[in-house]
Amino acid sequence: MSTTDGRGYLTARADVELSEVSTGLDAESAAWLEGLRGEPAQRNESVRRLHALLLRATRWQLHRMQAQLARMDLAERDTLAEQAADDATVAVLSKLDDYAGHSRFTTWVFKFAILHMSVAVRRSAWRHREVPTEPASWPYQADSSSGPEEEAEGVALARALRTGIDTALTPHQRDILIALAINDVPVDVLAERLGTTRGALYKTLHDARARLRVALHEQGIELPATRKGTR
Amino acid sequence: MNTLRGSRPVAAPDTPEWQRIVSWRYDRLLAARFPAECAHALATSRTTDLHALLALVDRGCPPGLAARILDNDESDYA
Repeated sequence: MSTTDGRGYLTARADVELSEVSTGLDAESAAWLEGLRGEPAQRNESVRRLHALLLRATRWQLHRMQAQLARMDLAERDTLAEQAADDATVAVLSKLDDYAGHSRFTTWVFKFAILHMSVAVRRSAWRHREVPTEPASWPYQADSSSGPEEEAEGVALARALRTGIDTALTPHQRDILIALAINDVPVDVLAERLGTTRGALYKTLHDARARLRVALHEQGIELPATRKGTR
Repeated sequence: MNTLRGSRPVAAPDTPEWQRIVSWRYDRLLAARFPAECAHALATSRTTDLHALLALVDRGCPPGLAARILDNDESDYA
C-alpha cells in the first residue's frame, strides 16, 4: 500500500517491514519469490536473473574444483558450468515451495548451484575411468615411523579388516564398501552407474560398516564410536 | 536437495562412455550369476536399478526372480 504524500518512503518501508513480519522473509528474498511466482512476463525475467545468478555460482564452484578437470579445455568447462546452472535452475524452480526462509533466498539457491556443479565435476573427472570394485591397494599398512607396539596393532587391524571384508560382507556390500570407502569413487558416480540413488548406497555402506564392526568385535578388536553424522 | 534424480545423465546413449558403463554393469551382473542374456538386457536398460537387483541376490533371491521382481516387463525374463 503506497502513498504519495511526503511520508511515502516511510510508508513503503513500513510495508516492507510488515511483510517481513508476516512472511518471515527479508525483502529481497520475498521479492525473488514474488517474481518467480508472478505473471508470465515477470516470471520469465526472474528466471533469467536466477539462471544468471546460478551460472555465476557454478563458475565459481568450477574454479574451486578445476584441479579435477585438468584435461578439460575452457570451452568444455564453460559448457559444463552452463549445464550445471541449467540443472540447478530446474531444481530450484521445482523446490520453490520447500524454501522456508531459514536463510536468504540467494544463499539457499547457491547450495543448488554448488551441489550440481560439484556432481558434474566429479562425474566428468570419472568419465574415462573404471569404477574399481577391487581395492587398488589395501590401506592401513603399518606406519614405519610408529613404534613396534603400534606397528603390530596396525598389522593386526589391517588383517582383521581384510578378513572381515572378505567374510562378513555380502558380495555386493563388499563391492560398495571397496568402491566408496577404499577406492574413493564418488557416491554420485557409483549411483549413476548402478542406476540407483545416493541414499540407497549410503544405506548399504552403513550396513556394511555395522557388519564389519561386529566382525572386528568377534576378533577382539573394538573400534571407537563414530561421530554422529560421519559417513 | 539431496536427490539428483532427473539431472543430466552421465553419458548419452550410443556413446563410447555409455558402452563402457554398460560393459561395467554387465560384468557386475555376470559376477552375481545372472544368465548372460538377462544380464545384457538389464545392463543396457537405463531404468534398471542394479543396486536393488544385486541387493536382492545378496539376500538369497535367485537372479532371474530378482530381475522379474524389479523389471516392469516380466516377459523379458520369463
